[in-house]
Amino acid sequence: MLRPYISIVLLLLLVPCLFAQDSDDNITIESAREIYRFAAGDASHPVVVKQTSVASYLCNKYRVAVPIAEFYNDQVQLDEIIVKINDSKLKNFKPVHEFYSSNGIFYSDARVCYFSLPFEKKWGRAEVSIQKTALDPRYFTSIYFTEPFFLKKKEVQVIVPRWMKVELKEFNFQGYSISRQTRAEGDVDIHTYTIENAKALVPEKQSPGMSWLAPHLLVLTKQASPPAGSQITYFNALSDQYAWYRSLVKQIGNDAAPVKSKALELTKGIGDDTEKVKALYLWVQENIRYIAYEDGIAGFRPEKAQEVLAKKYGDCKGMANLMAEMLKAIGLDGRLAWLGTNHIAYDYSAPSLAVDNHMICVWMNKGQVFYLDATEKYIGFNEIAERIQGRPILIEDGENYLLRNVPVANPLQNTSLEKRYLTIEGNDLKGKVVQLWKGESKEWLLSLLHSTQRDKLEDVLKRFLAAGNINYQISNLRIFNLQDYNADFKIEYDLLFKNAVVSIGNEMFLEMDNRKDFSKMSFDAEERKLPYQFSFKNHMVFETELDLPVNAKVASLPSFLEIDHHAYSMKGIYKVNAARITYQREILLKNTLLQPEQIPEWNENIGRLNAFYNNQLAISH
Amino acid sequence: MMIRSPYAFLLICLCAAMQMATAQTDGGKYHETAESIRKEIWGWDRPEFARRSAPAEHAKYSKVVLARRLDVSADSKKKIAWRGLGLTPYRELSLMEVLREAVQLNDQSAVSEYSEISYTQLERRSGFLMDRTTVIYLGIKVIKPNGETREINADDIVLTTDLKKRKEAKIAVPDLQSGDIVDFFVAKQTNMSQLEEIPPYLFLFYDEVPILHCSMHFEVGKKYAVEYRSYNGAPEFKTAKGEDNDNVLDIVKENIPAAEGSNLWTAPFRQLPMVRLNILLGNKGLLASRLNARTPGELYKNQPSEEYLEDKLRRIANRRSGSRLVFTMGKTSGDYLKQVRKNKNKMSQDSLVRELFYIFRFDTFLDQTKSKDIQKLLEMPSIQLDENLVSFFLGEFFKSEEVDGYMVYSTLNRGPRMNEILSSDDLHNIIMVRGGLDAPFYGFGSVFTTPAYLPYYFEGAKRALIVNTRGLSETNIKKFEKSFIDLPASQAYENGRVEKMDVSLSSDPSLLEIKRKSILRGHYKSEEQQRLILFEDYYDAERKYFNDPKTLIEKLSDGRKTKKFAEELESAFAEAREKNKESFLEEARSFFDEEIKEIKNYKVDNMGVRHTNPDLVFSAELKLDGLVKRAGSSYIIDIGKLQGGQLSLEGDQRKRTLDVYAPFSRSLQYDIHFAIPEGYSVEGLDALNKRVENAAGSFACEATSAGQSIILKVQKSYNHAFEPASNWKDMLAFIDAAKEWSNARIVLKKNG
Repeated sequence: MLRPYISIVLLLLLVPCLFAQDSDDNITIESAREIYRFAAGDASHPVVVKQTSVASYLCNKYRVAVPIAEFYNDQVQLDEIIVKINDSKLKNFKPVHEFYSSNGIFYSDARVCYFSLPFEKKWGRAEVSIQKTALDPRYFTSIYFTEPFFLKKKEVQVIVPRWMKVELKEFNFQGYSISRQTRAEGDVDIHTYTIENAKALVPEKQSPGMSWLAPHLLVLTKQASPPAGSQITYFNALSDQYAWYRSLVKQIGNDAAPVKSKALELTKGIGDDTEKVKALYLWVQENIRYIAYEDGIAGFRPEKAQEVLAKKYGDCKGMANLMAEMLKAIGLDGRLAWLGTNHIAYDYSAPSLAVDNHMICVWMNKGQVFYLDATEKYIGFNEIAERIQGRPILIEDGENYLLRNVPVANPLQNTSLEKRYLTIEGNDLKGKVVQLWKGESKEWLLSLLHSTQRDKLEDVLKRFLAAGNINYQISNLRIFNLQDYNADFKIEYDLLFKNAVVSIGNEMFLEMDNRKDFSKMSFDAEERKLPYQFSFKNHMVFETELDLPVNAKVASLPSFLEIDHHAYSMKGIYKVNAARITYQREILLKNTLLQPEQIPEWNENIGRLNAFYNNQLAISH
Repeated sequence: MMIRSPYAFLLICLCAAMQMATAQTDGGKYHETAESIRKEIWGWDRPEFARRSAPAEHAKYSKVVLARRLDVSADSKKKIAWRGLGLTPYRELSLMEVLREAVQLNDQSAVSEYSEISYTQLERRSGFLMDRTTVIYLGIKVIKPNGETREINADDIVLTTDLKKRKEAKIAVPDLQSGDIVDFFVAKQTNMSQLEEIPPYLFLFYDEVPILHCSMHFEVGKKYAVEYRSYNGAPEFKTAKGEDNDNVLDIVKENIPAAEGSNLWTAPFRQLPMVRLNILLGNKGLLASRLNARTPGELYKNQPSEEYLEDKLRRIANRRSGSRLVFTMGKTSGDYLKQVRKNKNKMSQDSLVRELFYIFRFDTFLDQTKSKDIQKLLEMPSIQLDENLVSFFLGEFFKSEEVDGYMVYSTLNRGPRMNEILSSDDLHNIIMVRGGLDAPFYGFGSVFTTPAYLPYYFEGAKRALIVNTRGLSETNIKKFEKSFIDLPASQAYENGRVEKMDVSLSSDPSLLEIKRKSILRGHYKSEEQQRLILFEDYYDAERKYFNDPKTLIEKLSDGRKTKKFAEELESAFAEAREKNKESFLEEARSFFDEEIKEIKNYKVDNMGVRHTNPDLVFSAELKLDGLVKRAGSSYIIDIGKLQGGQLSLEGDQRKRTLDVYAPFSRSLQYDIHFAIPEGYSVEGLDALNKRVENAAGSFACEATSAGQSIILKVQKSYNHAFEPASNWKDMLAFIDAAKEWSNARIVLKKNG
């Protein structure tokens, strides 16, 4: 990942744990004012953004100590925090400053300052004033309006001197009461936004990134001509942003020799280019650990390829750079490419450092583009992870750039298939099972298995397959392609499913599908306020061929299921052919985003799916 | 001290080191010292660290420990420094602890384990006569299969906390791949004043992976005394005298096989080979006997437990000689105490002790509104108690009310054996009330503990020490009389969970409707009491026993200074009550391990906090999804799932060589009444009947029908807290039977 943008986004992410114990309305923000003023700085920081915020809190029900957090980093300095309780300065105020780390980032310059706001009684008031300075307006990318508390009124002012060219782009204003006004005052333009009666916005499980949900401004800093200096072009156009990225790439200092030596060693004896790329990609996936450093400019400039090769770890940029250099080393067209994952709502029509948070390598091959993201450790060649599918991607092309969109993969990329061939023996089912996983389904399972100790792997896999049912007894387990991520991960085993059949007199009842995928995927429609984002588009197929005992026949065959929604489909059917019953069930998730308004219909369909699952086969003999 | 996992050795050593580290502010000096330490440790002439491969038969393991060594040197010197009002002589202790390990990594999970290391590089604590400065130095080498060795560059370390008194660091180990050997050490250098203790050492000769060479080496200066003991077949120290008459202790153990089989319910101190060692600053001065100090330069192998008991008793004496305990009561408990005092001659000793216990409990945990800390009150039901301390104060309170008692000392039932302790912290205590009570033992487990509570970890203890500590002002421990007693153990039925369920098909026949009443007894109670009981309800029930006519809110509302606080507390109580639904839902989810579609009429029927009504009883009406299947016109009910989640033992867990030390014997009972819908009859009832019974425990189900009802009586019992490993197969028999019964089904067939 590229460096995170230190903003209220982090605070919003932190909110669920910080405020879990507080009620929804015990603490409210009665009024808040934020001023962002672009100003001339000094020689090393010619333009700075001075930020001042004052928030007045009110305790409405009962006394409580509320944790408050503020973020900063090497580019955004925290100048001052003043806390007043009931109009008096808080005594013994000792905020704690710490490094902040999230999302598995090994090291970042992000810091958090946190403290407790003590409300000593009902109707107690607190005021928190914070002053910060962004030393480079490139890093000042967004202004979020909502707070982790109910907000009665907040005024946001952005003061832009005429020598500064800035565009404010509005996101997610719909559904909020936000007014805007722009006025000229002397040599500055003042943009004022006022938001009123905004509920606390708290992330929910699997909700999309806050830039998709929270009302905010994306601040596009384009150009400046400060009074005492010359003109500075920031990101006036995408070409400027690319030029800046390119300048960082030129500073990398790759040493081709060791990379070439390794690339040649890995592709020795392979003739076909695609096979060569596959071999290199697999090697990087397998041997380079993802460890992210996000420290200052290192948050944007890839690590030298030879360093990543030597250390066997790197962040996305380092891994992409190594991949690209390896491709170049064997005479192929490997390039760096920037993109924002689906966590981010923006595209490159708004040039800003907030647009991207990721880097991959692309292989340009005779007009075809292959996207190689080695941070996806267990995904196959030419398989694309959901988080980058469809995302705009900025590909290096010398002094120019190419702007493309990463293809959207068919859900069948992620198929998981289970096929059973069974017979009935007494009350047991007996037979053979074949299971395979592709794409991101495979990636998930391989992550689990590769984090398992070697001597416990078979035990862990058996437990995963049996899903806690001791009657699901596996023997003769064979595992295929555990190490070859370019192939489907496949297993075969013999199954003895004890007591799977309920025998009553001359009737047998049988549950054909004990997997019941998606059966627990309904939502509490009242509780769920935000969209639910599935991890990836999914395709789950389960089939059983059951040979009936001699003289047995079907007494009752469950009716079929067919739900065909534009975002998903769920199908299931039983077929009888002489003494063989075939059960087929397929779930296809075509779209990963489920909007809150779609939840009632989704729940209803999950209900139908469960009714299908809960309908059993009856056999008489 | 309790160790949760038998594999905790490395964690204990590293965490202890990493949590206690600190103090050189001079980065240059740190690097200089680090270099010299690295040079010294890498230069050890120890062939076990020169080994470059493990035997082929160990390739199946995730990793193999080629060599593991703990090397400790402790010394002290006299110093003099300005402290407070003038120059004060003191003794500065210096301690160097090195843990070095060489590990062959055989798979990706091992690579991940060693790929990042976080540690506290520096920590400084200071105060009057108390300075502790600890600095940690790290050395890491990666040895490739071809023998090429690369040492990690110290500059690759990043600081994640960079404060004057504390520096935390992180390092990503580069170029690490499966097949490599990681040879690393953590060296902790501590300088501290004499008032602080050197933490005890514990070294396990047991791991889930093979260890080819394991050693410990201590060099301890003559100002220190050393106590040590080997447990459960661990090797014994070889001792010798070194330079300056230092004591030198060594242990070497080679080829320790990987531990196999289940380690569920184990007691590491009683089962696993381990060595414990304490380094103590000796004292032979005037205060030596008063402090029960060890003699400088002495080695104490297998100290008798009386020594540690004496340490413990001296703490009581010191506490008593410090300041006299005065028990001041709040109004509700104070008024009631006066009544009890007045009537005590008319009360039996049992009644008197119980009343005093209730007064103590109410005053300590419920009558706590003076600080006006709402959060504290709301969280009171779930606070974790210092059980030894609360029991001690209870005993002292009893004495202040002229109810005499003994302190009872024993080790935990999963801690070291009584005659094998190596620290006074191994000893825990409760009270034994004198005067011929039927149930004389008084301990504390939670704020809900009822009178005559014998903690589960004391049950069945043999030759527990009972000590008459005499009057509240007695500080001469020689006058404390000691004797022994065997403590009783509870029966499985006393620690029971009884589930009564009236089950029927819902109007939506895909759901089961359950009217559930849960009765929890004995040691099963406290967890659910802590989850479900609200402070407000607990206070309200108890104050009625104390004849206090007003609720807490009413009382606070009466006070001019507390009126506003009462308003706030009322709001907070209302909110806690609203959130209580989530607690009941959480309990039901965790019990059934199924989706709960609806919960209503949930309540605690009896809190189980009084000896007259000691069971926790709660009830709720639920709708469960996923347990009803259809086949034509028939319904198939997954009736076995109503017994909730059951223990499943698979794979390696089914093998067992270690004896079983469970917390306590226990039983589960389900009384399920299933209403057969009109027009249906039930089939498959006979298949539900099951009985597996042996000396270790049992599982049984009796299924009958009566009219339109099915009655299931299901019970599971773990008969003993302790079972020898030879009984593991018996345990598996009833554990498996219960697990398998969770797949039990009944069929409802449409009549006609």
